[in-house]
Amino acid sequence: MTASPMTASPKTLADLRPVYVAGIGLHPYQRPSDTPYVRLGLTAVRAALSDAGLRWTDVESAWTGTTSLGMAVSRGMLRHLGATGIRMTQVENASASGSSAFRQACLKVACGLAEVSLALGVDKPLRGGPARTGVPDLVGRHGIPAAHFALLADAYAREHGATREQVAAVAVKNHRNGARNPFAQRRRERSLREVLDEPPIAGTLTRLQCCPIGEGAAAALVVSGDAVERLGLDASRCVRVAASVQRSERLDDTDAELTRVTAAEALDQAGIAPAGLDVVELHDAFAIEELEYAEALGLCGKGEAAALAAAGAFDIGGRCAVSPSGGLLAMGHPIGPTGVGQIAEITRQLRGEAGDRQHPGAAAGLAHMVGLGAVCAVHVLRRPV
Amino acid sequence: MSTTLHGAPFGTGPSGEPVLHGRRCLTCGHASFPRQPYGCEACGAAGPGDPLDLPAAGTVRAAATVHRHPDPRVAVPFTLVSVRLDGGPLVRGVHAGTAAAGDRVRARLEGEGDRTALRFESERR
Repeated sequence: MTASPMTASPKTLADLRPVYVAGIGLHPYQRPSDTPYVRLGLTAVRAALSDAGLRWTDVESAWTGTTSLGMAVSRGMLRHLGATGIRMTQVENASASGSSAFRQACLKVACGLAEVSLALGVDKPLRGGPARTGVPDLVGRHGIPAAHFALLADAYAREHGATREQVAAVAVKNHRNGARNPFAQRRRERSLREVLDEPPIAGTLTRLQCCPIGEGAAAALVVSGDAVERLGLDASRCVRVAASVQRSERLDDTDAELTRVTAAEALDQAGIAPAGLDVVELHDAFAIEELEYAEALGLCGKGEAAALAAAGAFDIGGRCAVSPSGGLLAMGHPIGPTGVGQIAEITRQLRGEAGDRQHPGAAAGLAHMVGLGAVCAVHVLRRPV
Repeated sequence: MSTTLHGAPFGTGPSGEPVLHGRRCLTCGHASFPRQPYGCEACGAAGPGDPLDLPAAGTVRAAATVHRHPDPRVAVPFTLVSVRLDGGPLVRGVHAGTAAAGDRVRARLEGEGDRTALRFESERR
C-alpha cells in the first residue's frame, strides 16, 4: 500500500509529550426525557473533576462532542461550573463526535497548548441528521442505518458462513455486560432465544441487535505529566493515551476497511500488536459490526469472528474483552457522548476499577468509532505503571 | 437521447428502457453514479464530467428486507439491494419483491411524474 499524504504527516501523538486520562465521569445513558442537556453534561463533568481530584479552575480548554442540540452548547452548560474564561469548542463528527472531541483534548495537551483539557460528549436526540448535499440516490427515505448494516450482515453471512445465532451471540454478550454497568441504557441480560425471537428490524437484525439512541453525557479530563505532578494527581490512576488516529474513507472503502487502516496506524503508533489488546470498545451500533471490526482490528483472522464470539473469546475474561461496557448495543448510543464513554470504560478497566465487569489483567485497551461520512477514530490506552 | 425525470438520478434511454444517470470523469475516466456537478471522487477534477447513462442492470451483492421504519410514510416491508451494475458502479436501490445475493436484476420504473420510482426486479432464478 502506498502511503497517503495523511499517513506521511511528520508527527503523531507518540512524538509529542505524554498525555493521560486523569478523570472520567458519566451521566447514565437513558431514554429521551425532560432532563435538560445542561444537567446531563454537568453531572458528567463534576463526576470527572471529582474522580481526578481537579478543580474546574484547573481546566484550560473544553471540547464538546455533540450533534443535535443546536449552537453554542458548551457555554450554556459550562458557565454553571464558574465562568472562568475557559476556551470552549463544539466538535461534530456524527457518531464519532465524542471520539473527535477526545482527540482534540489529547492533541491540545500533547502540543503543550494546555496542561488540562476536558473532552465532553452530551446529546439528546432532538433533531439533526446528515447535511443535505443535493446529490441524489436511489433509496431516499428507504435508506435507514439498520438497512445499511443488514446488507453488510447478508454479505458477511454469505462470505463467511456465519449463522444468525452467531451474530446474535454478540448481542447476548453485550447485554450481559450492560446489565452490570450502572450507566447503561439497557441493563437486562438477554438469552439467545430472546434476541432471536424479537421481530426483525432489517434483514436478520432484531431489535436487540440494534443500538438504542438515547441521551446522556460522558466526560474525560486529559492532562500532561507536568500537571500530574504540579496538581498532585494520583499517577497510579492516570491512564496513558498511547495513540490517537483519525481518518476518513477513500474511494470504495467500506467501514471495515477504513477501520483496518485506521487501527493499524494507531497500533503501530502505540507499539502494540492486536494480540496485545486486553479490552476493546468498538462501534457495535448493530451486532454485525462487532464481528467485522474485530476482524478489521486484527483481533482474529477474516471470517473467524462469528465463531469466536459465539465461543466466548470476546467475553470479559476471554482472549480480549470486546464491549465490556455493554457497547453501543446495551450501554447505548446517545451519539455525542458515545466516544467519550468508551474512553471512560477503558480507563476504568485499565485502572482495575471496573468491579464485576473487570477484565482480569487489563493492561492495554483500544477505542474505535466510525461516523457517517465516513470517519473513523481510534485511540489506544495503556495501564498506569 | 435520454430523458430525465424531475431531477431524479434515473430516466429512460433511447428505447424507453430505464437508465441510471452517472458520469465519467474527463480527466481520469472514472465512471460513477450518481451524476453530480461538483467533481470527481477518484481524482478530484472539478466539474460535472461527461454524462454517462448506465444500463439499469446488474448483479445483487447483498439484500435485506426492512420490516420496521421510523418514518410512518414509508410502507414496510420492503427490500433493499446492493447491485453491482454491469457498467461498473455499485449502487443501492429498492427491489420490487424479495431478492438474494447472486440474483440478476434489471430496473423498472413505477408510477408517473414526480412520483416515478425505480425498482429492481430479479430475473427468473
